[in-house]
Amino acid sequence: MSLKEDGLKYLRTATTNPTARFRPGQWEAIQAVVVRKERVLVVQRTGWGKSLVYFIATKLNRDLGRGPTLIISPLLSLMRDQVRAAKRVGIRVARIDSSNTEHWDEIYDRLLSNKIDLLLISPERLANQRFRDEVLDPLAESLALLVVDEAHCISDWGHDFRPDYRRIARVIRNLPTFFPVLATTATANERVIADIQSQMGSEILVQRGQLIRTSLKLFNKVIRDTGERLAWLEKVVRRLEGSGIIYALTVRDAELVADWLRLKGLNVEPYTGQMENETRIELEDALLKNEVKALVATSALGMGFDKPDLKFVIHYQTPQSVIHYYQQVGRAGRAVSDAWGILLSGEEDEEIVSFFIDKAFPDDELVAEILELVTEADEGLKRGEILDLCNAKASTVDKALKMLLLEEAAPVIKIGSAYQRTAQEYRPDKERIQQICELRWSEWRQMQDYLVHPKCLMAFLASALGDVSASNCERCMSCSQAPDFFSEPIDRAAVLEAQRFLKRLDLTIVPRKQWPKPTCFETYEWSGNIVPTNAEGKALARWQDPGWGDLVRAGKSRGHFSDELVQATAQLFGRWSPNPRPKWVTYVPSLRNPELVADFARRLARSLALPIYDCIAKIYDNEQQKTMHNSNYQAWNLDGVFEIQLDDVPNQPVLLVDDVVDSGWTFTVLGQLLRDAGVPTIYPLALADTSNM
Amino acid sequence: MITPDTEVTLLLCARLQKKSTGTKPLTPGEWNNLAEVLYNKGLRPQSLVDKIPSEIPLDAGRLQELLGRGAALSLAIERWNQAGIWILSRSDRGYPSLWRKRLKKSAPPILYGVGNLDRLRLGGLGVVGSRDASDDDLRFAHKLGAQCAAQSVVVVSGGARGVDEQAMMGGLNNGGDSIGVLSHDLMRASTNKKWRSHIRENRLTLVSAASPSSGFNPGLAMARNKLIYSLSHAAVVIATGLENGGTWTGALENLKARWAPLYARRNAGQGCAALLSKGARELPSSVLAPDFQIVSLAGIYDVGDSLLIRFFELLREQMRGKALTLGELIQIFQLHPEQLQIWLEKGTSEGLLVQNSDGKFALLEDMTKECGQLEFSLDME
Repeated sequence: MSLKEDGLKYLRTATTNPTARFRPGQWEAIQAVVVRKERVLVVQRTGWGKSLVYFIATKLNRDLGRGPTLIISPLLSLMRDQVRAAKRVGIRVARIDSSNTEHWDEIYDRLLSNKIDLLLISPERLANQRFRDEVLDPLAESLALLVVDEAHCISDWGHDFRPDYRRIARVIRNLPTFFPVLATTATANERVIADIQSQMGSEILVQRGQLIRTSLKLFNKVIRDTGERLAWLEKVVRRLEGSGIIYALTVRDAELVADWLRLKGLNVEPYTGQMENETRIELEDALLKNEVKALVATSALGMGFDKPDLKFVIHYQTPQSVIHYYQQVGRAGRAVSDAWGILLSGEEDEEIVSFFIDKAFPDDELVAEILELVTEADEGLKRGEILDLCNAKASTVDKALKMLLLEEAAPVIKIGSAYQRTAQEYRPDKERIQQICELRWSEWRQMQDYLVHPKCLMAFLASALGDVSASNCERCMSCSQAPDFFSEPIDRAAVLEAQRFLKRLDLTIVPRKQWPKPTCFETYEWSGNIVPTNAEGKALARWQDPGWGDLVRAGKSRGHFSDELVQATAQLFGRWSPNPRPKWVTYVPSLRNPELVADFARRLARSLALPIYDCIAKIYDNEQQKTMHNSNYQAWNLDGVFEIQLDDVPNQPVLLVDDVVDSGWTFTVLGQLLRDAGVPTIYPLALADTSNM
Repeated sequence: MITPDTEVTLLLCARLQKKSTGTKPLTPGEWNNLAEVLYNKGLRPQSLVDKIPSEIPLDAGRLQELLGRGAALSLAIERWNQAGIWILSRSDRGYPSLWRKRLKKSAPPILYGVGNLDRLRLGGLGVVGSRDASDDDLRFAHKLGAQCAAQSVVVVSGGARGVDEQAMMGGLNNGGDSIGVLSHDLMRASTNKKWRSHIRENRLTLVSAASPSSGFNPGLAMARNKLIYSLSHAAVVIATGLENGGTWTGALENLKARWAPLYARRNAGQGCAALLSKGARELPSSVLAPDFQIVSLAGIYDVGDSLLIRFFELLREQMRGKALTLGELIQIFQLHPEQLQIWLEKGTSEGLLVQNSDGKFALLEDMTKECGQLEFSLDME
């Protein structure tokens, strides 16, 4: 049998279709990497069958007595799908991520005895020296094919640049010319393809397919007001056929939309990157089996999630670029003749997008600070030591460290677990960062143009992605008539109900269970577990949310919270009705602004008909809590700052009032002091929660 | 950039990972045997990728497996490059000609290093000594290093604790240049606080024939001695054991091979006394005096000159790829024509620059990025 006949046989087994044929391009790509040992970049839309290419290539390589394949792929959902498909062709797969370190030894043994054909890893693994020493090195001695999935992540011009991909690009560049590489992506415009080529070495062959999905019906609508948008969304989701995905830009918006739709009796679930892996798998399965109407997801439900009969993708907010949008909307209608791609736009979009753009690069000062710390240290510094020395969020420190490690001539490298300064100069490329930010803003403006584009929407997307040949789709809102319920006026009663919902978010403040490291509370001498903890508390709103957020912000800047907020908080208390019921009220004092919270707490106590006692004193004027950026600093900033100043504090449950809660350390510290003074139960209550911004 | 020949040399000879499980890389001896066969057949190392000639006195299966380490190689290079480490093989143009000329076949097939490569091409004054040197010996080593710095002489030593470190630091801390020929763990040394800033200021080059993350092993330490001597125009033994230890063996090896004139002090222990009786020259007691010329130790050789290295740094800045006439260079540097001529000749003979047919001088590209390859025959010279 010829190689191609073998390949066809495996294709048919993999697809469980005895008459399957290669799609145009599939066999050519296999041939390039297996026979000619070339490098190929395959740009094909999702669902085209990229994974079949590398499975069959792996199988053929193994038949020829060659070594295994390594696949580098960023997302878990992708990995699970691939593992299933590979097993059908008899490929022995192992997957390694940070969650299965206990299997590394076993995988290592199987690698040594040549019992693994294909190893799947996430790009971050390459940064882990233990993984490289223990797993990757033995594999690399006989590796026959390298596959890089979602290769557009290599380009920082791309919409989804991932710093870890820089390392992949360098590894590819350093491979001997006779080593085959298969890179794949579904979304890359000309500029990104050119960048991938230059980073991976220009001898890479580009194979490009058509990106347009003919079953998609595109529809755009700007609804600035959140209440109106929620009302419209509810009506439309209820009437759309089949199941789908509703995308939101942030975790809290995904949760908000899911809460609203569930309140209205729709069978939807939130899906975010903050959830456990198992939960995410269950939710994906539920959508695959049409057991839910929709998942309300962030971009965490992303690359590689493959549901051929997905009937709609709705964007509750506008994503930051055409590529972001195309990649998500392209999940709909893969194997059905009709599917909806609906894009909404709201008043908050630009602020969120601006946050994404600004936060994409770590702060210069923090980078300089970390570099200096590492330079001064005699034996380098471990991550924990750097965190102790920097007043910055752990995630921003990690981001800065990653950037330093991945510089072309790295000023810092990791040896063992220590970050060490190298002899190389560090020159931040400010100009490039500036250029990328400008590019992001122009991509956002292009999205604004798309929102109100009067002609064919599909043609707009296609040309923005570099496919200029596309003709009118004859199905989008510009080419044909959308159903009436899309455009008829939004029902007033429904809008009012949504607005009421937004004002009753009743957020829970989860009590902290553990003191930070002992050095944080040296004065109070607290460490270890917090026993017992505060009771669960409540917050009226999220900072800047469309319900009460604006009023809270206005109150803070005017120095007075309105009676409307007092009333709303009293109503929240009524809905909450904690048990045992608090018998008195106290509040968090401030030296900088002594009346703001005190006055609010007094009015609230009056309306709840509870007595209020000024029992807490602030005895030390500390730095503002919002200038503390990580938990240790936030805690340390409160050490010895408060004191209970009433001799006989009522030994009954108390409502502890503050305006804004963020890390929750202030409530935790005061709770402990109050308990020490004999108060049995402490209920924190805040107007707004600024955490998880 | 790594040349295709170097790539193949690395695949066959380099230790690419901490715990190697697979096939054993070729020893320098095995590599030489292989290279000889290739040379006699008019082939280059890169041709092995397509075909392994049957005359090669090694197991073809083993070579195949070593050549299959492409992914392991690129992972290793990625890590080394991140730390600023460059890699050269004997057939690369940037490979120090002193080693190629003096060591011939026993020159290491692969070199790893950080810092300026030009410095290696020019060599310097070697300073060696055993680990158990006395405090007096260490102080002397430090002063000798400082004396070199004062006279713009490059100190060549092994980077180990004790004599090596003192001599190098004596030079570096007094504004001089140094070369550290390490026996192991180049990666860690290059990030070591004591060396780092000197590398950054372009005063120090660290080089090693051992894989950058390899640990200590006595064999590597021994092999390192001859690299120090053969990079030196004269060498001073500060202290040595008698009839034992690496310093002793290395010094005898040098006396036999005559790489560099060897100096030892009188009254510096039995080891040094024995070396003097075996042909080492006596280091003048005035060596630390301000008017003593270190260059005079080298006899007919000259000692690596750190001023010359600065000159080439400036030359690179000024020329930026252009070719310039002698007149133009005199104009730019305001140097005495004779001095300029001496340096340009030195540079030409060390392969740092070329004089074109029109009489203009042009610099060869930064050697670490140089793609060009020498005739493979040079590898076998």
